[in-house]
Amino acid sequence: MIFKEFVDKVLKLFGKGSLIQVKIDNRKTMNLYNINSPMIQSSEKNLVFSDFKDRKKELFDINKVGFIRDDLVSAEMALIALPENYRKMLKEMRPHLNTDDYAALIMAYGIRKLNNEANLTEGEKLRENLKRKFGERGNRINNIVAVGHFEMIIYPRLQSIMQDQIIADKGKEFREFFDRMINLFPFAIWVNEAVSKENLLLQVKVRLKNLGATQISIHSAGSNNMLVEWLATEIRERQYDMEITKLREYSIGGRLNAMELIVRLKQEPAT
Amino acid sequence: MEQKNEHLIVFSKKDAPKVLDIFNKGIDGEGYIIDQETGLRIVSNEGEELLAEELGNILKGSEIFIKADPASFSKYLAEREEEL
Repeated sequence: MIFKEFVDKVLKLFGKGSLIQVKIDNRKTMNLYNINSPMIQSSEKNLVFSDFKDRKKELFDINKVGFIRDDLVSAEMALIALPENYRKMLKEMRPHLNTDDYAALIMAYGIRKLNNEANLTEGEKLRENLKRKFGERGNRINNIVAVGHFEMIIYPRLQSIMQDQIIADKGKEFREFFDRMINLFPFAIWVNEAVSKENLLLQVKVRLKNLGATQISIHSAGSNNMLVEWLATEIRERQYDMEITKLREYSIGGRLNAMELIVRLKQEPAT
Repeated sequence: MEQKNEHLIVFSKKDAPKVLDIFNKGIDGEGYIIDQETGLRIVSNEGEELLAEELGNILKGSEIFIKADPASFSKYLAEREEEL
């Protein structure tokens, strides 16, 4: 009851507009109280901080009220308010991944959520943050999630390993598979400015012919779409041992034009 | 089904010293967060000393100080899977 009085008091002082409610799932809501309203005079804010200190035990030790800096709200709420089906999948993954890989995975789904909500600026900031913290491995995890291969390939593989009666060390089997996917990353390429036409074609050939990928999915966005268009033409007109199974344009967050090209080695017609 | 509400207070970078004071934490001459009683620098959830200007979150009953960096917050979530 005392805590309810605190909530009422904060809302009364800072106004209803200072409360942001983020629904985490059907059972949990995160209430964010912004105490930076320009309507509040600094003397009033000082009184609130003083009140917080007097009531530290009740507010922070017992009721576990936390603090978050204003410039982190969008990114951090994207990380904790992931769709429930993804959170369920991530929880199943948790025992099989190390902390850094798992943290990168949470971020990758957060980036996808922000992009899907057309919050491209925050999505890009979070992607840069992920790369800075978790390096190339984190970047690859993000690329795998971005193109949907995590839930389409890696998660189903975990489930099949878990159901397999013959595999003795299921955790080891999955970790080896996961490392192979991350290290070789054979089935998807995200085209960026640093990739030349020749290098892109070479990457596709190496993955299909040397690394045993059954098909490669090549993704691009914005001005990099030209590279994918070039590759599609190159394969149709000159690379006769490969074939295109899919070429589509789509939008990220309703604004950024993106392309997906799926290529495989040419299948011999059945006789 | 029981509804669970969690609460976060949103603060600005310039108010970090006031937030820290609630938890009896201060700032030393080099800008690092210290415990007011012991004078020792506190560490973040990643075990690193933390500058006051880098304070991003204080969570779960004032014991966990997180750097203003979503990747650090993500590591905090990864270490506590029940948070997800």
